[in-house]
Parts: sequence; structure tokens; C-alpha cells
Amino acid sequence: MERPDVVVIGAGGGGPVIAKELAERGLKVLVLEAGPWLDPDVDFTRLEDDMGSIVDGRLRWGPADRLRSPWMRRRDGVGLILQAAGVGGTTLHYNGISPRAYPSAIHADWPTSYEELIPYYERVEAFLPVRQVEEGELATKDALFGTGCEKLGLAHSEARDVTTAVWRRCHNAILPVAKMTSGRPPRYPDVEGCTMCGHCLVGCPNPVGAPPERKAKRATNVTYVPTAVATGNCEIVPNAFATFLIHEPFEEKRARIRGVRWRDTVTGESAEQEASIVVLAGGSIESPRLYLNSDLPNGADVVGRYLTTHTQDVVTGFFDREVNPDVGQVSMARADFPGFGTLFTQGYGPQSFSVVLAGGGGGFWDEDTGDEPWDFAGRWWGPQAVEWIEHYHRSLSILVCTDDEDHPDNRVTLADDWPPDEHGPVPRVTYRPTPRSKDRQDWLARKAAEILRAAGARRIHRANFPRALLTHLMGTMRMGGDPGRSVVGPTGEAHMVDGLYIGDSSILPNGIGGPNPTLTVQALATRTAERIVTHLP
Amino acid sequence: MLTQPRRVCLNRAVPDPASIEAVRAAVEAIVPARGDRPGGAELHVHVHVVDALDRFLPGFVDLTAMLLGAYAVDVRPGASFTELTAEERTEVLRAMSLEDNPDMRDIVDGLLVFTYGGMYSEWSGYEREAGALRPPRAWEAVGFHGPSEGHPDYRES
Repeated sequence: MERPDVVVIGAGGGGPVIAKELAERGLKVLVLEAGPWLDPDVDFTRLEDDMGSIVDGRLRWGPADRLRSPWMRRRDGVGLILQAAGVGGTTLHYNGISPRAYPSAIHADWPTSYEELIPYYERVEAFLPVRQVEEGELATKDALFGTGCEKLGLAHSEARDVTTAVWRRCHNAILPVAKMTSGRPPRYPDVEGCTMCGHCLVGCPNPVGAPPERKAKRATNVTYVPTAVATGNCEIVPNAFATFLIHEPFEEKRARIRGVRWRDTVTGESAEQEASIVVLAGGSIESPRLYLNSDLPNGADVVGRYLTTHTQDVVTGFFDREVNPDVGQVSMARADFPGFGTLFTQGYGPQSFSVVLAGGGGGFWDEDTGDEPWDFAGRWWGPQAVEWIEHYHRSLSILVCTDDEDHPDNRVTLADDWPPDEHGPVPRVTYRPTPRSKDRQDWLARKAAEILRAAGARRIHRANFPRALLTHLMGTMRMGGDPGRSVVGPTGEAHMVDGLYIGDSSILPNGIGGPNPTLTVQALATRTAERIVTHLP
Repeated sequence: MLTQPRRVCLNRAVPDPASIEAVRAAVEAIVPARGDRPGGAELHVHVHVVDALDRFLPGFVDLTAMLLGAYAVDVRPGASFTELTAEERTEVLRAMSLEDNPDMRDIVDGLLVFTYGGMYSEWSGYEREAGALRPPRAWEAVGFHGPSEGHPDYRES
């Protein structure tokens, strides 16, 4: 491509949004993506290990060649980090849940108001589209969840803007449930929409035969990316790992962006592209890593700080009836508790289920749980664990997403005690919930157990992960008006680097109250694209 | 049932065979055979665990085996981990789980997560190169429908 107006680093949840918005306005955009560009019809096998293994799954954080090791991160207080490299990024294995932030979470640290965000939410919701699951579409697990909420007296809501405790059918970036006929394969063009296959987490290839733009789950690889490319103004380069932000001195103690250097992860060759505007959208770990590896000004030592993760947990109920957690969109119902966080149903396959139920929790199943509303917690193994895992088909799991506090000690730095990899010093990810965050997580776990019990669960288990499970990574390059507490200003441009914008979840000033962050990231990316246009000469 | 391990460590020096045997003994304790259903060791899930550990935590296979052996001595003096009974192996895993050390947590998490991951995923019945799937018996035991194009009857499920 001729010299681009803008280079976007990362084709995950946010980068393609900015690429599409700019390309539609006639700007030339080059998108660099560290991972491969997978074909849903060819590469998405619907198999948990083949797709989701953190070691060599197709949706891992690592190079396209699966015989090579994944890219490493130094973890401190952190168990698993789930991030996918590839065009579509982590939206390849997200649930598609697309709620808005809680208005109460858009507080003084945000340089924008909730009201100002609404038009951007509406634009993304219309484009993807995001729609609320209809009452008749709920799968068994989600209907059970709703029953539990109703029995607890939790108010039902259909609103997108949530200010009080409610339960809702999810607003998902998933096409309407297809009209299917029993006994006939649900294939395009006979059917259009979601086939309720239950494989959202391992990449959505359905309906079989549908073109990418008509796949049910609206990950960016089948929405923003093809729309951006169709303009003729956007080029996507997969397997291109950005290693350095080229810059020059600018004004007092600041820098000005001049371009990007990257490494082809297949050939190992390096390349450069000049550009006066670069959008950093590699996620909350890689964006600060690249900034720090590029020796950009960081006088306030704020780059990488204020990581939030929703301090996640899982509570599982076992029923006397069939639940079939592998059937339906993985999350179709949720409960919101502004001030504490959110709960939603979590369908998954038996690999994830067994790992969550027995593999990584805190404490042991045979320990006394005291007055807590769950019957057992933590990890276990042996004949008893096998027996409970075999109750998978009668289980309903609820994911806990906590409104965790933003704290400067939760952060991404460079791991100076580890050897660098082929892309430079590796990131060190440190996260420990504050006491208040832990209290909120405990409150939500108890509420989840109450919902399960009210729905008829006979036995309840809480994972209670002793180390953080990182699936929602937010902050580290956060937006704000104060350069001493934020990396980018109200427009999305870095305080200290002219021409460098942030387009991913790292820009979030906090955990938005607990709701899944992708929609808010995409709304902010839409807003930032507008600001970039005004920046250009 | 598969009779031979299908995957090998590809990254670096193959771990000591004695280390692989110790991991196999841990897998046997974590997911034992149940009735006529094979356990993890019969399905060679330890090969999956060794491969995953070696690639995700380079060098940790031998370290894991060494620690299993060290804790085994506390449970039964003079015995190796592979010589312990299932109950004694559980004691070892429990003692290791109680250590508040990041590397030890990675080891125990790795043993459990990769064992369950190999046992209840498609791993034991899937040939990646050929794309051929023979549904693992564990799927039938847990009531998993397997990879699906869709569920037209989802409301009645």
C-alpha cells in the first residue's frame, strides 16, 4: 500500500473498529496483527483443546506455527491469561456479550460522560448488531438462571442502561436464533442466524456454509475487518508483531510518532512503515509493553498501571434435571448489581468445566465451608472429582465479574528478571485484588449461589480462584485528564506522544463497573476515530 | 483406545523417562479409572500433560517429577512417588497445593489443568493432522454432545 495515513497495531476488539471508521472516511489504513488470519470455515473445528488450548490452540497467544511455544508473560498473582492472537483477536473466543458500562462507573476519572458515550454505543450496536436475546430464545441453562432470579425477587429489565440491581436477557453481538427444523442440518442458506451450537468460546463457524459476514457471532473478523477491507482503503497484515514505535523528540520532554517497526513471525524478517499517526490496539498487556520497549517518555511512571480484571470467579450448581450447558449461546442471561459487578450464565464444554470445577480453585472440596451458601469449594481430584465432573450435563455455571478497584500497583511492566523473546523484553503482569474488590467478589459469589439455590440446585460449588483468571483485561494505558494518573487524554491521544492513539481495552480508566468491556472499547474506538480525523492536516 | 502416545515434546530436550513416569502416576491419581471406563493413564493423558508442561513452562517436567519425589518421601520414607498408593499420592498433591509459592502453584495447576484438559477434551480421540475425531468415552460419561453445527431442539434439551 502507498504510505498509509494511519497504522493500527492489533486487529482485536478495538483496532478494526478504528480501521473501519477511518477507511470509510477515505483514509489509508494499515493494520498489523501479531497472529494469523484464520478462516472460520476451515480452521474453526469446534474442539476445545484444538481451538482453546493456551499451549497450542488455534486461538492461543502465540505464533501461527503451533509447533512453536506460545509467547510468554511473567505472571505475578496471576493464574491464566486468556488472549487470542489473530485477526479478530480475543473476540474470536469471547462470548459475544455486549452490555454497556454501568453509568455509575463513568465517574470523575473519565474525561467523558456516560451521556456522551451513548451515541457511540448506538453506532456500534447498530453495526454489529447487538440485540437482546428474546424470551423464547433462552436455552435451558439461561431459563433456569432467570427462574432463580425471579424467585429471589430480582427485578427484570430490558434496558441497556442499568442503574439498579436487575436481571436481563443478554444483549449479545450474535445474530438472532435461526429458524431450524429438527432432524435437518442447520446450514446456510436454509438457515440464517445463531444455531445455538454452544461453541462461542472456541470460535464461531456457524451456520455452516454462511459467508464470513453472515456468521452468527459478531467477532471483528467477520464484521469490522471485512467492512474495512471492502472500502479499498485498508490493508490487513497478519503475522506482523510490532516491536518498536519509531519516534523523534517533540516539544518539551515529549515525542512525536514517525512510524512502526515490526517482525514477520513466519519469516523472522523485520519491516518498517512510516506514518504520522499510529493507533496502539494490542490489548492491555502488549500495548504498554510496546510503549515501554520503545523508550517513549513516561515521566509520570503511569504507563502500565491501573490494570483491572473483574476479579473473576465461577459458581456452579448441580440439578436433578438435564441442563445441557453446551447447548445455546454460552451466555444468554445475566444479573447486574451496580456497585458490586455482574453475573452471567457460562456455558462451555467439558474441558473448561472440569478445569474450573476441579483444577484451579482455592482450597479443597472436603474442607468445611462454614455458613457460606455453597457446599464445597476449590480443587479436587480422584474418584470423587470424576464422579462430580460426570454431572456436567446437569450443571449450570455462573461467571462472577467484579467491579474491581483500579489500583496503581496492579500493572504491566517489563520483566527484567526474564530473558527477552524475539520481540524484546517480555511483559510482567501483576494483579492482586484489593480487600474491597475481594469483598465485592465474595458478595457476588454468594448472590450467584442464592440464584442457583432458588433455581433448584441441589449442590453448589465455588471455584474461588487463588490467582487471578485474566479474561477481561482493562486499563494500563488509561484515559484521563490528569497526565499524572493517565496515559492518554480525552481524545485518546497519548499525553506525551504526538500522533499516538490508544484503541483497545487498555484505554479504560476502570473496569466499567463489571460488565463485559468489549462494547465500551468499541464505542470509545469509534469516538477516537472521529478525533483522529480532526487531528489530520 | 489408543495404545501408544501420539505426541512428543518438540521444543527441547525430551524430559527424563523417569519424570514422565512420575507425571503418569500423578495423572493416574487425578483421573483414575472408574468401572469399565479408562482413567487418564490408560488414555495416555500424561503425554498431553508432559507436552503441555514442557511447552508452557519449559523445564518444569523434570522439576515437577523431582518435587513429587521429594514430597513422596515425607508421606512414606524411602518411597518414590510412583510407588505410592492412590491415597498417598493424594497426600503429596495436597501438600504441594498448600505451598504459597508461584512456581509450586504453576506445577500443581499445570498437573491438574492439563490432566483434566486432556481427559475431557477431544485430545485422546483426535488426530490433528488428519482432522479425524473418535469421540472420547469421557464425553459420553459427562453427557457432552460433541462438536455441533447447531441444536434445532435446544428448547427441549
